[in-house]
Amino acid sequence: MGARKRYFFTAGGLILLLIFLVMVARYAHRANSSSSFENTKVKGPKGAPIQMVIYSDFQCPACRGAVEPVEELRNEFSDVIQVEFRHYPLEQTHPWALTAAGFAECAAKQGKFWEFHDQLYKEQETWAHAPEPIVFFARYAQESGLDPLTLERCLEDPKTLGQIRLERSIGAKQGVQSTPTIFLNGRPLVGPLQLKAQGKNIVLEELKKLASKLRQ
Amino acid sequence: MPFILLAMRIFVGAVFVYSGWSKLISPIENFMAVIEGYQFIKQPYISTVAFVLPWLELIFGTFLSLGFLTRVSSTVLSIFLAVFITLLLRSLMLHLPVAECGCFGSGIILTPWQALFLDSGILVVSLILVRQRPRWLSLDRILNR
Repeated sequence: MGARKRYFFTAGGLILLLIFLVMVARYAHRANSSSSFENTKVKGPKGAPIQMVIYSDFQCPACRGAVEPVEELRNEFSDVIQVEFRHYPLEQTHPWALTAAGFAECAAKQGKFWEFHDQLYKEQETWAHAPEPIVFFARYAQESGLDPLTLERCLEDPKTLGQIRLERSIGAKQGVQSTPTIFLNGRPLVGPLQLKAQGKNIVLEELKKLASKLRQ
Repeated sequence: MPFILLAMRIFVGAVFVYSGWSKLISPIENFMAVIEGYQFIKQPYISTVAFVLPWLELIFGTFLSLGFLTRVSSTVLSIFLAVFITLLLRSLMLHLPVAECGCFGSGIILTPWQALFLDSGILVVSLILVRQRPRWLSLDRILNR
């Protein structure tokens, strides 16, 4: 066999092997990534046909940028979208993200998650650059009407951190690498630009799929 | 000297294998978001680059590690590195909000400055490899017998 043929077949064989390995790894990754757990940080109709799961970091500016497009999508399709928030603090680049998540998780336990969530993002520019953001978190907690003793106990409870870490690890298994990552019926969108460009189309496609399933 | 060249070849190849692999096993939307952050191309080119580049990194990284089409592979990877360095410099000059380079998925987080330093070093090594003929422990040597 000439050298050229040997090179051709070797290259072809290596490329096919790499394609096979990547396919196997992707399949294994998907098989391990499905999981469900109890999460009270949801809003919208229960059992809605469109499930929007948002992995977010409270200190992330792009996450703040996604708040408005999420709300616009939710308002436009209010009867069919349920939104679920999951923590994904990027501690390496956002040193106060975990603390903010802790306060938000404790607000969730007192039924005030979304008010606290909105406040954190609205005031992100203020607290994210402050020397002691905890002062701001405590103030927002007071303004949201959270019971201070219950809040303190919750912040000290290891289960609170455990819940945040659980949500983060589930996100990592699902392939989340940056925030915000939004899953619309399992289809990922990363960042507010992708959400704005494709979110509505994905919702409409999913509703069409559902409609054709119901017709069958 | 041959041992050093072998180590250099495997190192550069392994960097690109890891880079390509980590992008390929996670949703393509992650790498698309990274490309969007550099603000140098628009759709539909973003999707095309996000699909094609990780495969090229994996394929030519593997080729280089195995010493297969060594000069071609190191030339291609040197071109990639030159483009990455240009984009990193551009993002730094324009103060683009690129918090981390997005080079290796979530496995290794590098700031643009760190990535610039690393890529420059790898480019030097890769350019040395472009000029080398097939040596021991390389598929090129076996196939050319």
